[in-house]
This record gives sequence, C-alpha cells and structure tokens, in this order.
Amino acid sequence: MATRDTAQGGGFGVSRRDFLKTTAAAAAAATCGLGFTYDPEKAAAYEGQANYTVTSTTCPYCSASCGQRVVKDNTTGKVVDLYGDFESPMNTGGLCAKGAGSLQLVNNSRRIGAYTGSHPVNNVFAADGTSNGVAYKRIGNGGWSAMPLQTAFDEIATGMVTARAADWNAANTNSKSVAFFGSSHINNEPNYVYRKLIANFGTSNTEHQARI
Amino acid sequence: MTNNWGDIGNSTLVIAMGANPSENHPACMAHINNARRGPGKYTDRAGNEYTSNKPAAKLVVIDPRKTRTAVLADMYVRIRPGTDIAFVNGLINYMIDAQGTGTGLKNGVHANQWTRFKAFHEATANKNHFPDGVNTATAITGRPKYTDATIKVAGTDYERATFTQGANTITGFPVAVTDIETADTAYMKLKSHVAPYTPAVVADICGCSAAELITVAELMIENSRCSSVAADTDAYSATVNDPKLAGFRSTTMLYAMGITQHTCGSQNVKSFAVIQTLLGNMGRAGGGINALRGIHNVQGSTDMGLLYGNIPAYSGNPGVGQAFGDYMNKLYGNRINGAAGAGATDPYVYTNGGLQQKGFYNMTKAFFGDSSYRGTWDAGSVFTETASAVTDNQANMDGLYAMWPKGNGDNHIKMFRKMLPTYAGTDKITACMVWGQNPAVTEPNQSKIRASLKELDLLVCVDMFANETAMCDRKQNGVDGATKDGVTYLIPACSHVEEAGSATNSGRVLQWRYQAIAPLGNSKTDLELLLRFAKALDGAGAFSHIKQKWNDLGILGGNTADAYEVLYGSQYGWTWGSTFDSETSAKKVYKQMCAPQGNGGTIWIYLDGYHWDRTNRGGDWPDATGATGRWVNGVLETLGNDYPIRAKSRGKSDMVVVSGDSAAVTATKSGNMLYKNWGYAWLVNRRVFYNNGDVPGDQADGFQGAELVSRMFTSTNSGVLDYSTAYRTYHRLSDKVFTSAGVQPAHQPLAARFPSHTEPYESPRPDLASYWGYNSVNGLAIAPGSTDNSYRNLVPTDTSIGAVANFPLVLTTIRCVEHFQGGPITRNNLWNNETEPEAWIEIHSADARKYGIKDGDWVNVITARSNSTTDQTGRTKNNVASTVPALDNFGKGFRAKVGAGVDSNQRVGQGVVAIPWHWGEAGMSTGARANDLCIDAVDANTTIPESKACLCKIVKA
Amino acid sequence: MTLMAILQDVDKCMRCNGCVIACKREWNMKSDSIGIMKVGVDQRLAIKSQKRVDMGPFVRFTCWHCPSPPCASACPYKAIIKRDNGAVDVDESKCRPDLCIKNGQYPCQVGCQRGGFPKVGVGRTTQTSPKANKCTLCYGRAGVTTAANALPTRNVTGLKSTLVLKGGGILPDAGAIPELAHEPACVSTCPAKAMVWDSQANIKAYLEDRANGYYLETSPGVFSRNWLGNGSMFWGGKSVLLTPPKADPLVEDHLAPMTSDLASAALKVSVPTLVIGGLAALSARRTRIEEEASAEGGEA
Repeated sequence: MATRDTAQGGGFGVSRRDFLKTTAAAAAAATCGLGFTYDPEKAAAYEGQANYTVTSTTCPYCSASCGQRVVKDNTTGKVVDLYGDFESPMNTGGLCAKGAGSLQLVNNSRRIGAYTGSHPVNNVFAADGTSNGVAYKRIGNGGWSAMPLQTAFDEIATGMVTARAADWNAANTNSKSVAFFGSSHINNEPNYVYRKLIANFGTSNTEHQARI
Repeated sequence: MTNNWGDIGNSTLVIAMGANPSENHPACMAHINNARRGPGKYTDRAGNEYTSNKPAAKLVVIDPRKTRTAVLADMYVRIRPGTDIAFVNGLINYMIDAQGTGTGLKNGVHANQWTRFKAFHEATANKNHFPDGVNTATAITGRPKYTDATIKVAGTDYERATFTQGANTITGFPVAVTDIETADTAYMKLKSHVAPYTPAVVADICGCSAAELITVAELMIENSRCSSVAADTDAYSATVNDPKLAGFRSTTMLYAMGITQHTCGSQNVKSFAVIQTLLGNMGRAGGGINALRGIHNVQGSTDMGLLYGNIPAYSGNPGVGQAFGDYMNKLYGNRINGAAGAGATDPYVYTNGGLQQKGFYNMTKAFFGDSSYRGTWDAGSVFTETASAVTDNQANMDGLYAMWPKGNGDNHIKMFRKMLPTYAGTDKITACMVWGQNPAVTEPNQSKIRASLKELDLLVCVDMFANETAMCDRKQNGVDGATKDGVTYLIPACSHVEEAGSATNSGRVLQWRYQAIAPLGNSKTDLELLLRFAKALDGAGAFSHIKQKWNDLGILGGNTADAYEVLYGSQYGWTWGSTFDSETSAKKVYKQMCAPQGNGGTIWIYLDGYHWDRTNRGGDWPDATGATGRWVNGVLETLGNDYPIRAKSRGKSDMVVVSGDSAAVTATKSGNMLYKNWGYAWLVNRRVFYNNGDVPGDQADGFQGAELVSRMFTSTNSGVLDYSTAYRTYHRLSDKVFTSAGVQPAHQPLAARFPSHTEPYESPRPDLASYWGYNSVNGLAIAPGSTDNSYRNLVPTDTSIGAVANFPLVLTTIRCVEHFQGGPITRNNLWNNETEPEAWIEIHSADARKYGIKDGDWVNVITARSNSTTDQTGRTKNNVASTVPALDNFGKGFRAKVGAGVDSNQRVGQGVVAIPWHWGEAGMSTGARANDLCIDAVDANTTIPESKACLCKIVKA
Repeated sequence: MTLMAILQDVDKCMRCNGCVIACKREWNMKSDSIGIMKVGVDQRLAIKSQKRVDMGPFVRFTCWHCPSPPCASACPYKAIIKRDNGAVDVDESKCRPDLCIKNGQYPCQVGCQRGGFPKVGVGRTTQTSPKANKCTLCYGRAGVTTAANALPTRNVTGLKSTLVLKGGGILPDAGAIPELAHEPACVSTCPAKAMVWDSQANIKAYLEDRANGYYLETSPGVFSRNWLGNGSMFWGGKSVLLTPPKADPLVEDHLAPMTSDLASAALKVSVPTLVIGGLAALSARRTRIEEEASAEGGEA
C-alpha cells in the first residue's frame, strides 16, 4: 500500500507548467515593510491559462476561511494544484500545513468510493468506475459489502421510520428514539436541507460539532 | 466573533486567552501581525496608499500552556487550567480599585482615563422603545446609552419602578441613576463582586504572580476606549474609532476551546464580555470578544440550528402545546400574539412581524409546504421563483406550524446515554445518522460512547473516509447477549472542491465555494445525498403525517401528493431522476435562505440588507472563475448586496459602517481592514457588532445589536436591558454555583449573575472547591441521572470522578496545526502524518523525573474513567491498521515530550500534562484517543464538555 | 538576472509547517519510504525549533545558497550549479548519488557547513532513481532548467520591492525586478507573512539599515548584528537572539552548543529566549541562561 500512498497528491507529469508563461498584468503598488501588505493583483501562473480552469473555494479546515484557488487540468479533469488565494482578505495567499496540503485531501487514495483499483484499506471501498452512487454495509462486526446508494437509502429510511415509531408522539410530531449528528464539515445549503429533513422526519434530537 | 478576522489588525492590544492561533488558526496570526506593525505607510486592497499612525500592538497570551502563539507573544502568563474567571475578575478588581487602595483607574496617573471611563458609562440617550410591545415614537429621555453601569440592582435583578412619560406608563421599569458610583448600581455591585479577587488571591488560584496580573490590567487600561484620543462620549465617532490615529487604543480578546471547554465555559465568555464592556471595547474597531471557531462551517451549521434546542437562525424549538402566535411573539420583533384579525398583533398577517418573526413564518412554509415565496419575483434571473400555492391564512399557518417537532431534543451527552443497553425508556435511541462527524473520537468518556454506538440497531455514517465511528465495534446477534445485529452503513461523501455552496466563517462572513470538479468515483455531494435520502424517507412513509395535514387543509394535493417533489425536488431544483447539478441546487437553497423577507427568505440573520433587487444587484451570479463578476466600487447601501461570493474587493471603504457617518468621516476610514465588499457578513454585512442597539435609528437600519453585546450585569429575566423591545426572549445563562456543601458561596452572593470562579469538576485544589464552589445548572438536570440539588449536577451519575489523591496531575487537551479535530481528514493524508506522526504528551521535566519518564518514552495516561492502552484496545474491534507501520501506534499510549529548562521555557507547568485529541484507531496514522480519558462533565448552557481540565496519573507504558 | 534571496523574519514564524507542505506539493515530493518523521531526510525545507518540545523561535532549516557553494565544487559530476538568481540548483540529469557515494557519504554533503544539503532520499514522484534534492528557490519549477523557461508564480510584471528602509535610504534595486514574479512556494504560502522574496541587495540593505531593528543593543551603545545569511537565504529577528539552525536535520533538540554569528562565548551555549520588550538587558539574559543551564542538570 505504501506505493499508493506515495502517489497521493502527485502523479501529474513533469510538463504541467510547460505551457505557462508570464502574462501581462498591472504593476503593483509599492508598499512598506515586511508586513502583511495586500497585493490583489498577485496571482499564480495557472490563472487565465486555456488548459486549466481555476475556481475559488475556501479551506476545509478551520474557520479562518482562507481563500483557496483550485486548478483543474481540463484535459484530465483532475485537480492538479490547490494554493492560497492572493485576493482573499482572509489570508492573502497564505495556507498552513493543513490548507497547503488539502490537495492531498482531494486526491487521496484512501477516500472511500473515489478511486478504482485496489484500495489501501479494503478493496470493497474501491470505486466501480461509474458515477453511480454507492453505499457500504456491514452486519454486526462482519465484513463490508457494497450496494447501490438508493437501495441503501431505502433500507436506511425504513429502519429510521421503524426506530421513530417507538417514541412517536403524533401531537408533538416528535420522536426521541432517533438521533441525527452533523455537521460543521458541510456547507450551509446541505446543513439547511439536513435540518429541514430532520424537522420533516419529526425529531429534535440533533447535534453537531459546535460542542466539541 | 463580535468583530472580524481583518479587524484584529486594528487592535493595539491582542489578548489570546484559551486560544492558540499559531497552530489552530494560522491565518489569524497574519492579522495579529498586522496589528503589531508600527506606524507607517500602507496600501489598502484598492491599491491606495494610506498612512497609519496607530502604535504597534502588543500580543499577550494567557494560557496553561506556552503555545507556539505564546512564544511569539510580548507577554505570556501561565495559569492553571480552569481559572480564567479568577484571572479576569482579578483584572477588574485591580482596574476599578475594588480594594480602595488607589489602583488601576483610581490611580492618579490615570485621572484622565477615569474621567472618560465614567463619562462613557454615564452617557445617556433618548430611546423610542417601550417594553412589552408598546412601540411609540415618543422617546424616553435620558436612558443609559451603552451599558447598565448606572442601573440599580436589587437582589438578583434590576431595581424596578413604575415609569410614566406622556401617555405611556410602564411598570417594572429599570431604575437608572446618573453616577456610576451611587450605591447599588450594577457598577458598584460588580465592584463588590470582584472585591475578593485580590492579586494575591488570584495568584493563588491561577498559579501566576500578582505582578503578571497587574501588568496585564495596566496594559488593558492603556489600550481601551478611555485611553483613546478623544474624551468624547460617543463611542462611535471617528475620533475614538479610527484605528489609524496615533492616539487610537483598543483591546481585542481572542478565545477558543480553551475558554469554552469547561463546566463554566459560558461564564468564562461572559467574563470577557464584562471586562470588554467595562472598558468600552465592545463595538469598536480592534476590540470585541472574538471566538476563533474550530471548523470551516461551524458558524454556518450553528446558524442552521443543528442543535437539540434550535431551529435555523437562532430560534428555539416550538414548545409542546405552544400556539403559533405565542411562539412568534417570543421571537425578536413586534408584539404579535393577538387573535386572527386583531390588526397589528395578528400573527397570521405576515407583514406584522419583525425580522425573526417573518423568517420563521417563511421557514414554516418552506419546511412543511411547497415553498416560501410570495409572488413571482426576480424575473429574468437564472432562478426565477414562483409563488407558494399555500395561502397565508390562519388555518394554513396553524396547520403547517403543527408539523414542527415540539419541544427540545436531548443534548449529545444524553443522547449517547439513551443508546446504552441499560437504558429502557421508549425514547431509547436505536437509529442514528452521523453526517461528517466522528463521535467515536470526539465525544468525551468514550467507554460510554463505544457501548452506545455498539448497541444501535442502525448506524449510518457519511464521510470521505472509513472513520472510527463507521468502524466501531457493533453488536452481533448471539454475541454478548445481543439479540439482533447492529447494521452499519457507510456512505462516501466528496471533498470541498467537489461541491458548490456557501460557508460561514468565524467572523460570520459567508463565502461561496465553487464546484471545481464533479465528485470523484462513486462519491456524491452532501446535497445530492440528502435529497436522495429525502426521496427514500418519503418512500418509507416518513412524511405521511405531513401529507395527512395537507389533506386536512386541502392543500398541495393532500395524501396523494409526491411529498419529495413538493418539499424538496421543486424547491431545490432536482426533480427525481434528473441529473444533479451541484451549483444549480445549492444556489436554489441559498436563494431560499437569503431572499428578502418580503419575498419569502427564511434565514432572518441572512435577511434584510440583502437587497435582491435587479436594479442594484450589478449583475448576475459571476462565473466560477470569478473573472466576470460585475462588482463595482461603492458602499454597501448603494452597491446592493448580492451573493456571498468571492467578490473582488476594490472599494476603498473597508471600514466600520456607522449610520450617519458623513462622507468625510467615511473617507478617513480607508484601510480599516474590514473588507466589507468581500463576501457577506450577517447581520446586514456588519463586520463589527456594536452595542447601541437601544439608540433610535438602529431599528431603522435593520441592525439590532442589543442581544449581541453582553451587559456587565445579567438580569434574571433577560440578557439585555429589558426596557428594550429589541429582544423579547434571550437564552439566559443557567448557571448556579454550589460549594461542596451544596450552598452558594457566602462571599459571592451574585455568583452566576456576575461570573465567579468555580473549580473544574475534577479539581486539583479541593480547598478552593469548597470555598469557591463548582458550576452547576439551575433548574434543569442537563446530564442524565444528575439532580438539580446536587452540587455537581453537570456530569452523568455513571461517570467516575477522580480525586487528586489518586490522580495528581491535571490533564488538558490540545490541538496541533497538522491535524484536525477527530482526525479522519488529516490522519489519512501522508503529508500531515509525516509532519506530525503520532500522539504525544507534554510533561514538565520535574513531573517526568518524578514518574520516571524520559523524553520519547510511551506513556500510559490513566484517569478515573480509562487508560490509554489496554482499555482503549479492549473496546476496539476494528482497528483499521495503517498501511504505514511507523504510523500504527494505537494501544501504545502517548509519546512523551518532556520539557527542559526553567519553568518559563517549558510547554506546560508542573502538575499539568497536555495531550492532543486528534487520534484514534482508524486511518493512516493511529494512536491513543484522548477522549477515552476525558470527563463528560459539561457546561451548564452549551453542554460543551470539560475537555480542558480533568485529573490523571501517568506511568511509563 | 537579479541575484535574489529569501528573508525569514523569525519573530513571525509560528511553525505552522505550511511552507514545508507547500514545498512538497510544489515539487511532488514523495514521503514515506524511509519511515515517518517530523523532518524528512530529503525534505527540501523544514522549520526547526531552537528548543525542545517545539518551543520557538522557529527557524527555517534549508540551504543557505552560499556564494561559493562547497557542495558544487565537491560534486564530481558538476551536477550542482550556482544559478544566476542565486539558487544552488541540482541538475538531476547529471546527479549520480549511486556512483559518487564514498564511505557512506555523499561528497556534496561532506563539505556543507549548513546541515548537509543536498539530501538523497526518496525524492520526487517525477524521479525514477534517487537524486539529490534541496531547496532551489523554486528555480525553474518542475524540471524547467533554464532561466528563460523558468515559470512564475505570479503572472504579474513590473513588480517592485516592498521593502522600506526606515533609515531613509534608497533600495539598491528600487525599480522593477522581474524575478519577483518567481516567488518560491514557501514564501507564497506563509500565513504569517514571515518570509519575503526580494533581491539579495535589497534584503541586505534592509537588514543593514539600523533603523529597521536588526541590530540589537547587546550592551549599552554596542549593537550586534542579529541577522544571518550570506547567499540567498537570510534570517532576521528583533526580539530573539539568532543562532544558526543546528546542522543535523533530524534532530529537533537544540540545547547543545551551536555556532553563532554573535561572537559572545556565553551565547554559544544559549537557548534563544524570548525577552519581552526587546533585548536591551543582555546581562540579565546571561544570568538567565546560566540559570537554565543549571536547572537543566544532566537532562540535556
């Protein structure tokens, strides 16, 4: 497995920057000192190159919300670089150990269901080469097995509805025999839909990482 | 954060207490470094040069551990874990001369500051709010403007009297005087409350020196509002609020889990609010109290109400038996608990409500009906929305409101206890969904958590990796008395670059994340997974009660409706069977949350000031590269505020927005580093919350600040001066202080109203615990099994509590820069593992000598609850062995990092050990779980566990 | 071509390791064949602590890019080149560690006084056989080896120095410096902005300017230089006394004597210590150092 691990975050070729040349841009104003001076024109060489698409996101770790620029190689469709956004006032290009390494979070062979071929943890977690959803299931402490995502959700939904019934109070449309956790790791939109789904389902047993 | 990341750069004194930004928020250090620059010429983001004459800030770190932040600080004060309030009260004691010996502001050298300090607290204004729903244009004259220092206190509440002005008579109106030093004012009560916290007493409690305390107190006096340039009474005038002036002085207080992870965590934060309010540092540039939040969207997920007592946007759960009008009336806004047809108090007339009320009204429709929109609006946009088919009337609103789950859920500690095999109630939790979280590492007292997770019939994990929760030991039919199998599902999620959506940072700024690539392999975006799950739930009959309600109301197709399509598909742009488009669906959700209140927006804190008006919008959603965003220079009010996008910040007006500022004043604020054209900060794009929410004019601009700034004194009924209608209800603090004799400490009669020192539940100083007491909860058994009259009722009764005789060391948990929280997303990255490969323990050299531990040894840490070797391996069945043997350290304990040299050169002081809590048994790097050891005593208000102080002993493993 | 350099302000470095990982990312460094350690054996760059248990100050441990690099002259295959921009670079097509090794040592490391750069270890994913790796100031990036092809990190032209001489002088390279666009990955990613990329002449002028504070008053009226560097890597500090990073890349502890550019014998056994409010009172410091040494006992 070590060889797979070695390839994490890498694997792209020598020549990925061969296209890249200095392109024109404005002169930056002279500023002062070794300070945290802002340079909004500063941008890395991928910006504006035809072979790459550069999009913006924010770092997936702490809530300093450093801006990140994500470079997609248009030929391979893969993310080939991920660096700090010089324009973001939150970080002006800076990224710490976690943020600077978050390319490896994306291109990580240990992700479940993301890559075809042998998986470093368990080959069940290897992707099947399609973009169809998948879920993994185990019974007791048995082994994992893969199954279609929607089949799994149907089973889960049935199980949740069964569990809900034990403490269902129709007048309060509330049951406390189920629990939903999560998550500060997902965006506002899924959080909102998740909270709606929990309310529709009929429980107020929900928590997330704000406490820990 | 009351302020913002960039605004830290405006400070002249940065106090980091219980926070370690060097490791946990590295970008924050750049803002601190900004503050530490001296006077000079700088360039703002618009490329304009400006001159700042602000003196270089000092950085003071107050922490049990000499962190990487502390080594970069101008001053470091080491205190014992869990003694923050004693330190802060000691600062106040010295500052306001509670001893009467002429210290602090009463020292003659601070005569000018004392005059300004007094003037600030005694400032008055005319207010046009009347309590109890009486809104009148007639201003009440001469009420306290900024603080309650001049309000008189009787017992544990304000002194109250009947107040009459014109036609209005108010009973129970707080009595104010003109001089803060009048007997029984909140100020004088505070003074008597902090009197016991003399420098010598604080030095004993905290383990610091009296001189260190006094130095910090003097620094804070010198860097607060009363030491700023002008002696005026307007905290928001340019002269005291322009951080580029040579005379500008302001202190910001930064905190993180070092402050909150205590049984008295809320009181710790309140002590910050008290001292910053006292010094006039709230609502100023470079001031405030700033929580450095841990996870990129923890602010957002809190905004979205994923908490047992909340629904989105900081509204509480509707209560059992509570009617729609009564619930609405308790929210911020107007008095609207009248009957249908009652005119201005009719809750069913949408326009009667205030911000939060309208938001809730809309949310009820969006959550349980077809949508929240009114009219067809935003025509021509990519996402034109059509009106809700549900008419706004009493029957429909009562009916949809009935679908809200009534009453609170259980907190996390209780929920896990209710999963245990020994729990027998009907509310035994048998099915649990864990989305992007890893409680098998992050929850305290893991022996209970592991038993709980094992017992579940159904456990569903959604994550990018096979984390500890997914891999945990599960029950098997016929094994150890189990009568059925526990079934576990693990569903692959995608990374942050594979999904579109917004995230809200610690400074409340929303920024848009664009989707760079489609989710890899079989993984899916969270939003698609949720919509698929909703479809499945509908198929399983989970929404049948909602369809029945529609049937009863004769709306939306009733029992024959496709509930998925009505509630999700049509609202969020994904009809079942079509191709899921992350950007399209996320924007649909975002639009529902953030639409103007008149058009049906649901998240009131994101509303208002959010002008979705094509005339002002300046263009459509910019493309993913951000290159074609049509953002123009200008201030918020004329720019129109659009999406929380990665907006280009070219405006020169990066400053505190103050209503009524002249253009000239605005111009002087260039370079204030607030970046208000970048992203969107709730509320109404305020980057600094200021505390004149009671002043006329604030209602008009939609900003309500009163709740957002603490007063020095917290009355029994609300957290704010309750002559204001701004906040009808407020989550008041529930703390109650008991000594081990079960009584409130005699020398602290206002304990919990004012923050007072309490010992950790496992205290190394029983003598102090019996005198100062423990924090407990008043009126609510927050932890299972505990009772209200118990003096330590914030811990489950089945949790073992150790005594100092057997467990002589204080254990505190820490984090490192290379790893993150419960670890799945960093302990699977080789780069992170290589730079921080294993879990460790930091020990003082004297302690190491005492217990025979050498640097590099493996150490077994033992608490009353668990050890870090055999106990942990014993409750772990599915150790996902690392593929890198050198990283596979589960079961070995913690690697010793022994300090060296004099005390001031050591990471931790004598008697304290520190361990990171990122590790567990699954992932590329494995290691001992700190949370097997930690106590699950919790804060009285937030149920945050006391991870920062428990007792342990150590032996060589 | 302008002679360039990096200046690290050790007062700001917080050892977040962002530069270390950005360097690995930029150069596709492999990681794990030697085992796991905080400081990889062939890491191009590391941040090291001058004290035990990660206590600061934190110093960038990397090649100094000497003006006359002994590693270059020692290389039998002339694989190590001093580039025009100051970078001591490795031409990996010529590098043959398998052939040059003698008595278990590589000639290029033997002569190095600064921590044994270059390193031979697992190397980059683009390397099929072991090669020497070291900081190259991101020269050329990704295999491009001529200055003309060297790729920028910033597609900006006309960049000028951001350094200011507080003493009022004029920077030697006050005009546009094209090489500023070739900012190394470590400098770009530093969250604390503890590093600056500029011409060597500008950095030297900046450090030499007494008004900028890199000369400390170590005794009344006596100012000692508190910056290090002679090639394309400089370190400067105002609140900590600087000693060069210890040579052994794998050792984190720094209680043993170090060679110091600050001449005092007492300082050679020093542990740089943070002193509040500047470093005026050196005698007090010496006392403290002696105390530390005695408190340390045999533990070191």
